[in-house]
Amino acid sequence: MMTFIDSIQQAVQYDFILKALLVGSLIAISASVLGLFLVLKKYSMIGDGLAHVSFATVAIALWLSASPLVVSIPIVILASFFILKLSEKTSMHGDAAISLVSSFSIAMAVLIASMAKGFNVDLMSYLFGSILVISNFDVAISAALSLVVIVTVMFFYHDLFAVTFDEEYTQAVGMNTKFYNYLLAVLTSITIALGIRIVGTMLISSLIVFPTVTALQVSKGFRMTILIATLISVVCVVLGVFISFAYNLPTGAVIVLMNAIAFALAFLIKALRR
Amino acid sequence: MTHLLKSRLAIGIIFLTALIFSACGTNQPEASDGLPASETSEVSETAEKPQLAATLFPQYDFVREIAGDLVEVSLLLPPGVESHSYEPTPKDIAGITEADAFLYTGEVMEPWAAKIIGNLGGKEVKIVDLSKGITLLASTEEEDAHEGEEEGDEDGHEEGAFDPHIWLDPNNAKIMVSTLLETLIEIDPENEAVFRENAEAYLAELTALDLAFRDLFAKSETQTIYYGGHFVFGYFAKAYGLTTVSPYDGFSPDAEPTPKRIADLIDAMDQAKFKVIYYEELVDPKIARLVSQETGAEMVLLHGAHNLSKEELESGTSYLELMHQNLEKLKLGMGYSE
Amino acid sequence: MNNPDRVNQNDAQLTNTQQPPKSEYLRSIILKADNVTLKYGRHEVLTDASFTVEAGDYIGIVGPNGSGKTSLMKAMLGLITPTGGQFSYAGEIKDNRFIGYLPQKVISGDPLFPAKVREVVAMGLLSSKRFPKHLSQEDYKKVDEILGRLKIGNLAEKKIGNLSGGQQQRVLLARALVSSPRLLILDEPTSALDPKVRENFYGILKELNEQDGVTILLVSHDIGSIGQYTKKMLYLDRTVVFFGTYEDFCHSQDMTHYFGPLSQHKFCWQHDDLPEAAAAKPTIHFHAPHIHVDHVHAHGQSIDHSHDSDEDLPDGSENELEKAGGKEPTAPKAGSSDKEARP
Repeated sequence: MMTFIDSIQQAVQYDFILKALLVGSLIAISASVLGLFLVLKKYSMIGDGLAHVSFATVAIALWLSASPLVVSIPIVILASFFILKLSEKTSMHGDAAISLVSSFSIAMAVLIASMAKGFNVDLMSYLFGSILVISNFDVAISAALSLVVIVTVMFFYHDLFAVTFDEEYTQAVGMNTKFYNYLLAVLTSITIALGIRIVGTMLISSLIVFPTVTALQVSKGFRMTILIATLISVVCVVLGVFISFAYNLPTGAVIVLMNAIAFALAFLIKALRR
Repeated sequence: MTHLLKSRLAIGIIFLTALIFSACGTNQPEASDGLPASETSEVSETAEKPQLAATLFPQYDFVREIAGDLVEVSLLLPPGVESHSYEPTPKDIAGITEADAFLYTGEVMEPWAAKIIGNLGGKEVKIVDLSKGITLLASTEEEDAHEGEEEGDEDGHEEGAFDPHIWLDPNNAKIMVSTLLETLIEIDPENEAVFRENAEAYLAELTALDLAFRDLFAKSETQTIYYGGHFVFGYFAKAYGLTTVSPYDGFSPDAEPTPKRIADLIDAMDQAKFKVIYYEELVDPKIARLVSQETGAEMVLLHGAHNLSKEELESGTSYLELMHQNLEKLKLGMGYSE
Repeated sequence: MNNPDRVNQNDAQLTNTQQPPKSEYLRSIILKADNVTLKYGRHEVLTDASFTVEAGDYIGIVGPNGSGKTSLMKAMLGLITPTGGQFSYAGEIKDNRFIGYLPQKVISGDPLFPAKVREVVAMGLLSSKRFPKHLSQEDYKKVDEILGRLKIGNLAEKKIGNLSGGQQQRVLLARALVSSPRLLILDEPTSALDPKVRENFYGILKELNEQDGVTILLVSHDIGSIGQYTKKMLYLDRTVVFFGTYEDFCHSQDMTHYFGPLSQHKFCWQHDDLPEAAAAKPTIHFHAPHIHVDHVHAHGQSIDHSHDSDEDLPDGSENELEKAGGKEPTAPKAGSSDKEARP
């Protein structure tokens, strides 16, 4: 145990560790705040799905020699709108719509890659961020992102809750249901598009879903669930970073592992309560 | 299955399909030599130029040097694509079966070659394993090179066994050239004299390169290379007695470096006198950037010559040119003084 | 309220966008349907439905399965757009404010949904709020009040997924009521409830209607028992078959023909306490007597006459029909012969 604490002290001397902690937490917060809405609306696969869309957008950006981030975010937002529209107009559920858009995007990316006859930089490396290699720009962006997400959700909390709980009812009583759905889509897209670049796909998908599902095991109220999810998420990120440092393991995977352990604990608690 | 692997598999599969249908010009002639179509091709339909299929840039370049426009050589890898994640498409494979020779770097670099070779039975394709005659280095770490996101084998590497980057030692390059010479003579005996002459000249250049490196390191203050990418200069380092420090354990560019290793690299650099951190080609140099930020070191490219970017390909750069560039870059970082 | 002239005046003033002056008699019409037709794809579920809902009405909406009842409710709420005709709303319920809605399904969402009863009920207050929406102490007091009134105050902190069907139904009713709606639309609210709970439920509705003056539209497939609770009936079978008080229904010979005397009697067994005025001379047309006869339209009449094929209308009706401006009363429309198949 002492050595673990030693290694924590050691770890925090490095800028990249501090950034990993900070940005990891910020992104974890953004993802958890949105996570409950997404999971309950059965959009859990959205992280993976939009990751594939990002893949296509990066291919497009490299082809046009433009900045991937600038190209990525608007297109990912549009893709999420499209997913929404699909599940509205046809009787497709969220998961099928996501799958559709997702596989289409991969195909587009591959086509573009072959048509462009190669790029100057490997596509893959552009796509998959890592929580360890965070730039100052990334720090600024994730801070801005979290702020936007938290403030927006706070302001629209009751409506988003209502729309998630009973969409038909909200329509029946004249609330602007469409707007809230699209608002959620925009926030989610931005979080994922940035999240992929900053912490990588594996991490962002799990940050959206895992802590939320864990929190659902133990909490009763909606607001409480979000808070618990956020807390769990941040704790897992922090623990993940330190443990991976101490034991020479890859950070992203350890964070996900921490989440898995948290889930197991929560499940246990729920079982014991009965 | 991890997400990353899933994506790549999906990409691989769709890539196959996409390329089958791609109406635009294929990779192969596209990536071939920037040399003008020569007049000899109009000589006769029957006396076609020999076709060679090269898997990696070094051999592609060597063939150009030795045979010029007497043969047609194609590079299987599309520009910008990371070599370790490459899988041949059916069209590629078809191209290989049509070729007179298939030049691959060795089982370790291209494990998929074995499959193709198996399928070539009956066709008149010379299979040239360019690692022939070269002593392979075992990978320097005993650890499993597959950390991070990969569960399965990355396409192109048998990790944990041998270092495949044989071509970065000019001496190995010479052996490769000799092997290629033999192959060319077998395929096209008429032009033996030309081949020999070109090969001689080229070998001389390689020797000169080798000497230049020896000179460099003899006169350098440090014998350590700090590298932010997955380490490819194993043979190079061995040849010139260098030490290398990299946060990656193995050779796969996607294996995630652990925070500890990154911290170690930073610590090591902080203590080093010459602050240069090298990074590899084609991959976004995130680690190098990070180290550069933490230590103030300068980021410098050290080209591994697996494959070229689109720009590089169009500019017609060569192995020699890349290695000479590396030479200059190393002079910068190693504290070279005349 | 029973003065035809006054009602006429109201109609002229009532539009989607106007706010009627706030004196009681001018607010008496809360919702009007004009020739509303609803289609799902090519399937027409409701044809030319017209009726008027007055403030304080308590209307049971009945009819066989597939008769368009739920669709009509949804159209009223703007969830479906009519392919023909339109609705008009009194100003205070414009844009669906102050409408309480209890949808047909029993469980909203899945049991995993982390919503406390209080949070769910508070949802009912949202539509009348403006951005940024904030639920104050007062709001939560309202929530607690309505929970208490519905005798589920003890459930306030419980997760909705953990409640029984009957409890959930009451929670959703609380949600529908918490904003003190002027119009309450309930779609098969008691189908999952046991008799005792059902009694209690209807008791609450009665209170709301009689004491608070809430207008109630109650959809039920249980035409037999619905009559004991509601005051008026709207019978739908892909169009309006009947709309009026129970008294009218029970004395209507057309209804006797339509349903058969036994069924009609079954539907009518509850109403012992009708005021004398309403027990007066029965009339046949399909709208309650206080509605101006201009609104009796051809289609309704033809249905009427399809049963009587060659018979004359009972007396009284001709006078009314003449007042309507000489619409032809006797010729049955070809398309309504399907009505003859009714038991």
